[in-house]
Amino acid sequence: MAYEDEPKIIHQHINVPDIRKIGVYEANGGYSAWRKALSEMSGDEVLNEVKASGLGGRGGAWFPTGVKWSFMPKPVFPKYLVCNCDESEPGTFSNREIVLKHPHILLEGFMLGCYAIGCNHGYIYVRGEMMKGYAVLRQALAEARARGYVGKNVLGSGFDLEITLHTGAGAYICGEETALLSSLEGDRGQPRLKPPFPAVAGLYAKPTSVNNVETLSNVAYIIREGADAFKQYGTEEKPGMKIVSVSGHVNRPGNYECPVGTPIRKVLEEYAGGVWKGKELKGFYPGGSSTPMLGPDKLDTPLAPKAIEAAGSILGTAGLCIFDEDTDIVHVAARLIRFYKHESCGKCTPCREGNDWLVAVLRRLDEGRGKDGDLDMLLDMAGNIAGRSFCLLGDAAAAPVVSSIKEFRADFEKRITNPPDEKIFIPLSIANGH
Amino acid sequence: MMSDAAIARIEEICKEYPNRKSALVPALYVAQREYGGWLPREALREVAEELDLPDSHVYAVASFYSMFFLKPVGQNIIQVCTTSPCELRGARDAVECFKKRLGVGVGETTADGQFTLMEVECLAACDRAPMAQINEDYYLDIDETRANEIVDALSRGEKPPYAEFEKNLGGSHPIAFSDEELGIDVSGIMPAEPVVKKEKPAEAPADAAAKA
Ligand SMILES: Cc1cc2nc3c(=O)[nH]c(=O)nc-3n(C[C@H](O)[C@H](O)[C@H](O)COP(=O)(O)O)c2cc1C
Ligand code: FES
Repeated sequence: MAYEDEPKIIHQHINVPDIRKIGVYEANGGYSAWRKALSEMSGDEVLNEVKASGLGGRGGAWFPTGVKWSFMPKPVFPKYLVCNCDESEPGTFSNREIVLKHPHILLEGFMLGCYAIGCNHGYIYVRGEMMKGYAVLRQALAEARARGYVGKNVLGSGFDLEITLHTGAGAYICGEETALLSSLEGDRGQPRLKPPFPAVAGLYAKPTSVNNVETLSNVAYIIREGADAFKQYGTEEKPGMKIVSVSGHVNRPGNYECPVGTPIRKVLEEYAGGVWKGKELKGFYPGGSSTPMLGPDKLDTPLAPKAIEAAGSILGTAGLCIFDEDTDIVHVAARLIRFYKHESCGKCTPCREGNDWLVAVLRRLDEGRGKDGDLDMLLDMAGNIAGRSFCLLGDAAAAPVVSSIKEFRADFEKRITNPPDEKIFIPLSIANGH
Repeated sequence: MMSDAAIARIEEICKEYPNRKSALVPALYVAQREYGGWLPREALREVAEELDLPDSHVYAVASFYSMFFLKPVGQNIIQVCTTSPCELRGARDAVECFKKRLGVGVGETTADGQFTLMEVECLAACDRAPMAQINEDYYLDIDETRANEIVDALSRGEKPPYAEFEKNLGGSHPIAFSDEELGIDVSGIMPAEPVVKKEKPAEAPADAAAKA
C-alpha cells in the first residue's frame, strides 16, 4: 500500500485544505470527542479511556499518559495542564507541522486533557521561534472560543476552561518539563530537582501534567473511537502511531505517521525513498540527536521503545536522521556536541564544563590535530557527564559521543593521524561568538 | 520609554497568570519591539519596574534566552540553522551565500544597519534544509539564488516571497504559509498584538553593531 493510503490517526486529515479552520475541522469529525466527553463522560472516564488506550508520551520518554494523569492528587486545586510545544530536538519536526496545519486537533486533545485531570486553566508553551505556529494557534483558539468550546461553562456543561498561549524565547532546555515550568513562571529556564515531580508540585507548586503536542493530539481520536480502536495499531507495549520525522541524507525527508513497531528499513526505503544520490547507508540516529547512533546492521529494528533499546539506542522523539556513506562522522559528532554545549543551561558542573571540554577535544580531532588517547579521553569525559548531571541534557550530550566512537571508531582513529579532506571539511565555527 | 500601548499590552498579558513574574518573557518581547529590536539596559529597567521585579532578575532572564538581544542588531535578522540535520543537507553553503552577499561574518551586522547574520540551532524544519528564520518567518530550501532573492526583497523593504512548495516529494511537512493564506499579519505577532513597527536600531550601527 502506498504511504498515502495507509491508515493514520493525527495525519488522517492533515493535508485537507484549510483543516486549520474550525468549520473544516468540524466537518471532518472535529470536536465531536469534546462534545461527547462533556455530555456523556466524567473527567475520570476520559482519564480511564486514555489509560486503557496505553497511549505513551510522544515527547521522548513514552511514559503512559493516563498513568501520569492519575498521579495527580485529586483534592488539590488548582491543577494545571501544560502542553510542551518547545520542540527543539535536532531532527524532530512533527509538533511544528501539527501546530501549523492542524491546530484544532491539538486544542481538542488539550481540552480533553484538562477535563480529565480537572484543570480549569491550561497553558500551551510554544517555543519562541515558532511564531507562525503561535499565530495559527491563537487564531484557532479564538475560533474555539467563539464556538463556546473554551470559556465559562463550556457548552452548558458547568466546566470552565481557560487556555493561555505562552511563548518561550529560544532555549532547548525549556523542553525539559521542569525547566519549562521555570520558564513559564518567569525565571531562567533551568530544571528543578525531582522529586517532587510536577504531578505533585509543578506550575506554581500545584499538581501539573506536562504533555507533548503529539501526545495530546492523539487524545481526541481515543475518546471518539475508543481505546480499542487506538490499540489496533502499534505494539502491545506501545499502541498507536508515531510520527517519524525523517531528515538527513534521504530522497524524501518529511513526516511519516506509521504504527509503532514499523521497521526503520521500511520508513527509510519505502517512505523516505532511500538514501539520497544512490549512496549506501553509513548510519543513523533513530530518535533525535540525543539518542545513540546505530549502524546499517540495525536497519531492521522496529520503531518501538524496547526493540530500539535492545539494538542499543532509544526511540525518543523518532526523529530519524540518516547519514550516507560519505558522511564525516567525526564532524557530525563535533557539531552535535557544539549544540549541547550551547544549550547547556549552566546549572550543573558536569554538563556545563563537560560539554565545553568535549567540544574542545572534538574540535581538535575534527581539524586533524588530535592526539593519541583522545578517544579514551572523550569516552571518559562523556562517562563523567552521563548520569551525573542535574537533568537528562547531560546524558543526551554523551550519547552522540559515545555511540559515534563505538560505532565508527575507525573513522576517529584515522582522523587522529590524518587531517580532514580539504574538499569536504567544514570548520566548526563558533555560533555568534558564544 | 515604552509607549502607553506597550504598557497596556503588558498589563493585559499579566492577567493571564496568577502572578506578574510569569509575564516576564512576553513582556520582554514587547519591550524588544518597542526599542527597535534589542533590549538596552533602560528597557530592562522599565520592564522590571512595570512587573515589580528586581533589575537583576530581569537581566538574568533576558540574558538566558537566545531571542533577546542585549546589543543592537540589524533591522532584519537572518538566522541560518546549522545543526547537523541541516548541515548534512548543505546549511554551511547557505551561510556562505549570505556571508558573500552581505559582506559580513556570522554574528555581524552590515554597516548600514540593515542585516544581522546569525547561526542558530535546530528550528524544527530539518526536512527542508538548508533553511533560515528571517525575522518572524521561516524560509526553506535555500540556495544561492534564493538567498540573493531574499536579501534583494528585504533591501527593498519587502517581505520575501515563499518558494513554491512543490519540491515536496513525499510524506508531509510543516509548511510555510503566507500571511495572506492565514489572513494575519505575522510581523508583530509576538507576543500577540503588533505594538509598533520595527524602526532603525536606536544606536549608531556602524561601529556599535559591526561586531555585535
Ligand atoms: C533536554 C530535554 C529536552 C526536552 N525537550 C522536549 C521537547 O522539546 N518537547 C517535549 O515534548 N518534550 C521534551 N522533553 C521531555 C519532557 O521533559 C517531558 O518528558 C515531556 O514533555 C512529557 O510529555 P509526554 O509525556 O507527552 O511525552 C525534553 C527532555 C529533556 C531532558
Ligand atoms: S537541524 Fe536545522 S531545522 Fe532542524
